[in-house]
Amino acid sequence: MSSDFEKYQLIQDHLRGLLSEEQEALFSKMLQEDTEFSELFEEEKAMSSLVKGVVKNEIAQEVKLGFDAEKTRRGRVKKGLIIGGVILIGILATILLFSEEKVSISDIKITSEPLSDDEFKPIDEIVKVKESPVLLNKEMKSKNMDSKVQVENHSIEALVDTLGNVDQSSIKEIADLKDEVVKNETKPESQVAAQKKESKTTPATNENPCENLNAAFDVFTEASCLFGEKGSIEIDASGGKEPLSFKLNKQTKEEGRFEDLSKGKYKVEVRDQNNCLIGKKEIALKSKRCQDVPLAFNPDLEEWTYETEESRVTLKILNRFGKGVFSSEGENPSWNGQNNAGEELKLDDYLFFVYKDGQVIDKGNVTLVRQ
Amino acid sequence: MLNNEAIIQAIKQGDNQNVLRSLYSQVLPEVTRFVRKNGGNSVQAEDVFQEGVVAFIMAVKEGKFKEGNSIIAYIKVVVRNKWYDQFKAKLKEEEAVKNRYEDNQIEEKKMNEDQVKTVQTLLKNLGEQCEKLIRLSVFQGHSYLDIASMIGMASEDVVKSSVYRCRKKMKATVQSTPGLLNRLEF
Repeated sequence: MSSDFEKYQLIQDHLRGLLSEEQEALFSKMLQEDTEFSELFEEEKAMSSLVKGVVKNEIAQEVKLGFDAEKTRRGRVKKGLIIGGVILIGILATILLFSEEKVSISDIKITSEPLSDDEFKPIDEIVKVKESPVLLNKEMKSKNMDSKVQVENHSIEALVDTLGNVDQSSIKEIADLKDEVVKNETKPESQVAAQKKESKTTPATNENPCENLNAAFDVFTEASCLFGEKGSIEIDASGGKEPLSFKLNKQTKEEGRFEDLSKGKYKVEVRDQNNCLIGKKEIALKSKRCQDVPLAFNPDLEEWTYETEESRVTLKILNRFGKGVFSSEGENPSWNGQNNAGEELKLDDYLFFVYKDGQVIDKGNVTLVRQ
Repeated sequence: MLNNEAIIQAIKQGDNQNVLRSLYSQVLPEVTRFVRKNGGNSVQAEDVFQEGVVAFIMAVKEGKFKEGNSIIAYIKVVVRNKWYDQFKAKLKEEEAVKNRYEDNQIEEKKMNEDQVKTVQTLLKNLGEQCEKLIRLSVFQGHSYLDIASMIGMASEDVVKSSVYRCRKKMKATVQSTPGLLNRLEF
């Protein structure tokens, strides 16, 4: 190992991993004993490191330029395709426009042809009906009557519906009204309507306070949170003799708003001062999720947190077979995708339950995903 | 579209543009999908893709990339590591991959623009032949035989002695230029 060249060559061979085990042993011995040699080694390494650094920099530069060029080239191709597409669409649209024009011209031709007598007939008849009901031919008359009776039947049904439990006398009166309408079937519609209105507003000779209540009744609901009591029911009712009393199940109030309700079925009833029924309905209050909970999460990147306004809740995670795998307690309990022993759980769907004071306040499912 | 062999050959010949074009269409879509899936956008994907390509080219030059391995897989591993580094996620897999591809060999020096320019000038002043030889010889991926055929030299031995001569010249320049060592933080 006399010349510099041989020393240098040894270093190169070492770096290239060309030395045998014995040669390597000799090499490290030389490094320890010969300070000149170890200095040379350090210098060679430093020089190589510098040159590599430069080369890497140049490659990075080249890659960046090439990347940008490739991106632009592809962008241009894309742009070309888009422009081509636009031109093609333009051509197609022009062709279509011309063909459309042809269609519309032929359409005009058809409509400009004189109409047959048959086509005019219905209009004629309608005019006749309007001007003099007496002139109606038999067929039209019966048709007209049928439809009117039908209309009245519908409105009576609707009336009965809105009135809810109307007593027999009023139903009878409505039935009478119906008869009257049928009798007056030849009268113009406006006249019938006027008569109907009149008979409705005229106070009955009968002194029953529950007649002619002029009642209106409607119920609005707002869904409750899951396992919570945040729902509400609002009853909009009018008519009868005020004040009205609103009844929800067994609770009675003078105003129609009930709050802090949990989901379930409720019976709503409204009566006026004379205990006459304004309206009655059975409704179901639904529930909805008020809390935003992520449906899936990647345990490598984040934790799954159940955020709540409660001060302390318990979170339990169950696997798909209902076996508890994890539990945590706190203000905003979170889960990192591991079981209580700190082992990674497999990617799957899991159920979560949130308890407060031993009561379930929320539940749902969450999926573990990894990229 | 180049195949694996052609890509590696092209890198050794210094034709990085064709390599890049090929990788752009083959690997970038997968990298973008991966980055997007992991909370990144396409611009970030392009950045890590470029880093991945540079790392791959360097690995081929260093001879660390085993021919026959999948290039796409290599770049994806690099991209994954770089991406997870950003999230400081410690994956066992990541460590394993690092160990597989990084040996105790000389790492390239991280340099600023000024330092790069200094060394570039330094290499240029050595003459074209020397510059080529030194640039090629620092990478273990190029055997002396490869270098001989690339430069047009008769034998390995000629390459060896020429490289030695050039490196000596370079060292002399570095030592004779006062302050250069400090600037390069040797």
